[in-house]
Order: sequence, then structure tokens, then C-alpha cells
Amino acid sequence: MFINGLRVLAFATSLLSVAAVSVTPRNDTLILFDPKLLADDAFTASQFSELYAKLTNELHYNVHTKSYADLSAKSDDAKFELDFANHRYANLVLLPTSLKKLPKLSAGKLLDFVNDASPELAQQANVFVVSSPKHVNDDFRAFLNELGIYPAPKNHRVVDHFNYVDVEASKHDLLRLPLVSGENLVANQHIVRDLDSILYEGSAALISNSPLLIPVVKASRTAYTANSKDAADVWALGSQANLVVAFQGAENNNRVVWLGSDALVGNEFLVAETSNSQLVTDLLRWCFQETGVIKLADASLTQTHPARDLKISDEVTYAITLALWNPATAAWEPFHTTDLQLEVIMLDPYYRVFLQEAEETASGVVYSRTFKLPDHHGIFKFLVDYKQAGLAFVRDEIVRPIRHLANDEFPRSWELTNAWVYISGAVTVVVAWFVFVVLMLYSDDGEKKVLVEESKKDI
Amino acid sequence: MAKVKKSVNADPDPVIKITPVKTSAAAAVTTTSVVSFTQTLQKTLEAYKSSLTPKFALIDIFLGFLVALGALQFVFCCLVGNFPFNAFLGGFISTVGQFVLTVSLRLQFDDENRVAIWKGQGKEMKWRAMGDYIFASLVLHFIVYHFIN
Repeated sequence: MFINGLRVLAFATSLLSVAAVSVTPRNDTLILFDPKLLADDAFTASQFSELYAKLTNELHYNVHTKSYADLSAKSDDAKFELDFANHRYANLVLLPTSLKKLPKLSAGKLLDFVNDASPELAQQANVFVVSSPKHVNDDFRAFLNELGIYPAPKNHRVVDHFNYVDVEASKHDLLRLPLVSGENLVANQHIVRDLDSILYEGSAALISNSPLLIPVVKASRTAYTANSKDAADVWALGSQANLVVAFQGAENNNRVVWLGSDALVGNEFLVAETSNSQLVTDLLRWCFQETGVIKLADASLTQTHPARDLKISDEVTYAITLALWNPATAAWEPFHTTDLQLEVIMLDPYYRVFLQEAEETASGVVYSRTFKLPDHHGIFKFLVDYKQAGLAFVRDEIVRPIRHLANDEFPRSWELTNAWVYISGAVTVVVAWFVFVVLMLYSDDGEKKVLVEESKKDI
Repeated sequence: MAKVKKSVNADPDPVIKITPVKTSAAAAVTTTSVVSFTQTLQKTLEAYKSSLTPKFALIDIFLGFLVALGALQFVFCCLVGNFPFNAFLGGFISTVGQFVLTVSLRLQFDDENRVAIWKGQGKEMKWRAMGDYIFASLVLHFIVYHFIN
């Protein structure tokens, strides 16, 4: 049944199958690491072992690891290139690397990876990029810049003299961010749940005003981002610096998350702070399309009085069914919202109305609205374009012609109360005219009398 | 033939009455014109009454009725809006058209116009006019009833 559903979705809209794929919690996930930056030779014993354990044991991904060294220009790993191009891996985790150039993971290749994942083939391509202040790879930077994320230059760190953790020889760059919704944590329940406070140590990024970007964690207002080697070299001030940024592709819902800190996914923080661990879990789940995934189960346009085609001013009902993926129960759940809008468009929107929750069915929540079509004929588009930060984008478009009335479909004049006055006027004229004619023909001929009188006078 | 003219001339009193007024002071000029207007009106009414036969009275009552009905529909249209515009046109044109036809009937019934219209033919021709009138009215109402829907 699920397979069947998948197929329907894939045809319905390009977004859907992406959503549905995350049903399988065993997506292949590739972690790319730099052995030079590891504390141990084996990745599973390094400072990222907790991240590895989280991905395999907690989130149940099919995790592969690979060293950046194997991708350097000299090595000839044709298999990886083929796997990468064929979307063998649904998710990439890019840990920091000291390598300057990575031709096999250039900005263009990463963009293609995210862009080309074909929802029709049930592919998805999500990238979880972790930056480190010390090591910023040029290819990753170019890739992030394409999305509108501009990480700070090398060696820049976020410093805060108010919210730091007091350790020996502190430079006030180990921060305790009070995750206050609306300040550090950008209010968005779809990505990260409310957390107490987190530890942070690392870099920051500025972001463009692209609507596809969602800032998740920002620096405090008292923080600033400066060169750790030259304190006067300040790069960003206060909350304009973003510490965690999320991105969702407009066409295929593929997701990218950028973290400014490798410490955030390191064992030390993950073990020390529960809220840090929760933050990383939430970010991974969102990035790998498990949370914030809604699917369009059904959309329909029906007439109150069914007819062969739509005509102007007909009463119609538009209904759309949406469901939300719950990774905990691995099932589609009802998706409740109040901000779903329908547009009835012919070049311009004629209507833009809110859809109301009608009922809850097995396949999701049905939102519907009954309304009269515009008094205008033409080819109309019934469009739901639901784009909310943190949620998969849902777009449904029904194109239907609305015809004008045929000449025998206009209401007759006696059906219109206004016309009753004029009809009774016309009837009265006829009746009065008939009475008049009868009287004229059969009334007493006064003319004779006048003539008689006249003749009398003449005499 | 000149029945109306006769009746007008038959009463020369108003003319005589006006003369002394004209000779009075210049300040009374306005009074003079008002008086002469009311007198003219009076004279017209008298002339009308004297020439009124029962058939003409019948025609005039019908004409008045048509004017009232047309005005009523027009006012209703102005107040409520011209939505079934064809229905309004049908109802209104029905009264206007009937009015025009009836006026032309009245002209043809007037003996004074007989020379102009009937070239001095017999009075029986006015019944031909009546026939024309009935035929034209039927055509008018036929069209109106088609148009009103």
C-alpha cells in the first residue's frame, strides 16, 4: 500500500516523493572526515564517535565513512564519483577539512548533487556542512555562498563577554547561549524544539535575504565575531551573526544545514550537555528530511451541482489533504494548520482565501472551502502554494476552464424579483389598452351629439 | 370645420379685460404678465373643455395613465437599479410606444386635422385609423413581450 502511495505521490507533484522517501529510516548517509583532524586513527574512536553513534543507533541511518584524503585529486576513486553522481548516498555529512581544494566535491558538484536528486526516482540529497574556524575549505565556502550563506573568514570566532563559560585562560569564546526563542533561537517549532541553553564555540556566518534560508541559531546581541589573532578585526556584530543556518531547495525540498562549529558535533559537547545533543538530533532529523515533512495526499475540485464543465458563478468545493511525517512512530499523522491559502488565478489572483479544516481522515487532514467561482470566464488555476519556513514546500495546481453562460442559461426575467415591476407594468398596459379599445369602439358616440349641437347652432 | 377656432373666438371677453390693465402704471407690468398667463391658461382649458368629446376624454385619460405608469417604472429603476435592464426597457418602452400610438390616434380622430391627414375624405376614415392603431399596438406588445425576457 505504501509503495502504491509512493507512486501516486511521485506523479502528483515533484515534492511528494521526496517527502515519502524519508519513510525509510535507513537512508545511506556518508560522513566525510579529515584524518589529520581526528584525535584517533579510526573514525569510530575519534572525537566524532558520538555523532557516529547518534546517526547509527539513535537515528538508524546506514552510515558510511570516508576520508577526504581518498578524494584528493591524485587518488583515483572512480567508484565514489559514480556513487556520488548516482545519488547512492541520500545524506552527506561534511566535517571540516584542512585540504584547500577538493575537485571531486567542488561547489558545482555539490550544487548538482542537491539540485539533481530526482524526486521521481525517489532520490533525495541533503548536506550537513560543519565548519570549523580553523579550517574553511574553499569549495565548501563557494557552495555555501551559492546558497546565500557567507561563513566568516579563517580564524574568526564568536566572542561574548556576557555569556561565556569561565574556563582557565578564557578568551570568552566558549559560550553558553541561553536559547531564548526569538533571540538566539529563531522561533521555528518545525526545526528545533525549545531548549534550555547550549554550549557553543566556533565561527559564524552572514546570510543573504534568500527566502529559502532559515536562520536557526543566532549569536547573542552582546556577541561579536572577530579574528582570534587580531581582536581589532571585527567581522560581524551581535545577532547579525548566524551560528546555525538551514536551507531548503525550492524545487525538490532537499535540505542543507550549516553549523559554524565542529565542537557542536564533537563528543565533548554532546556528552556534556543534553540540550546540545538534542539540538544536533533535531538538526540532523530536519536536514535528512524526517521532521517538517508534509505530504499532499489528495487535492480535488468538485462542483456542488455536478456538471460536465465549470461555468461562471458555479458553486465549487476545493479540498486538499495534508499529512505530516512523524519519525517517532514512522507514520503519517494529521497535519494541523490555520494558514493554508487557496488562490484562484487567471493572470492575477481573483480569490485568495483561507482553507478551513474540514475533517480528519486516515490519509491526513482535509482542508476545504466552498465558494462561488468568479463571474469571469477563462482558464483558471486553483493553486495551493504552501511555503512555511521549516516545512516541506507543498504546491498543488489544478487548471480548469471556466466557461461563460450559454444563451439559454441566463435566469428568465420572472425569476428576478426586480423584473416583476416591469412585467406587471407591461401587462397593465396591455389590459388597459384592451379596455380602452373596447370603450372606444362601443362607447356612446359623443361626436354625434357635438355635431348635432353644432348643426343646431348653425340653424 | 374650424370648431376649435370658433369656440376660442366666441368668447372675446379676456381680450377686453386685458386692455385696461395695460394702460395702468409701469410698476404693474409683472402683475400683468401673471394675469395674462393665468388667463391664457384659463382660456386654453376652456377651449380644451369645450372641444372635449367623451372619446377624446377617454383617450386623454388613457394617455395620462400611460405617463403615470411610465414615470413609476422610471423612478423604480432609478431607485432600485437597472439590473434586468431589458425588462426595464420592455416595460418602459411599452408605455412610451403605446403613448405615441395613442397620440397619433387622437390626431387622426380630430376633425380639424381631417383636411391635412385624410384630404377631406369622409369621417369613416377615422375607423380605419382605429384599425391601424390596434394592429400597431399588437405589434408593439408582441415585441415588448419577447424583449422583456
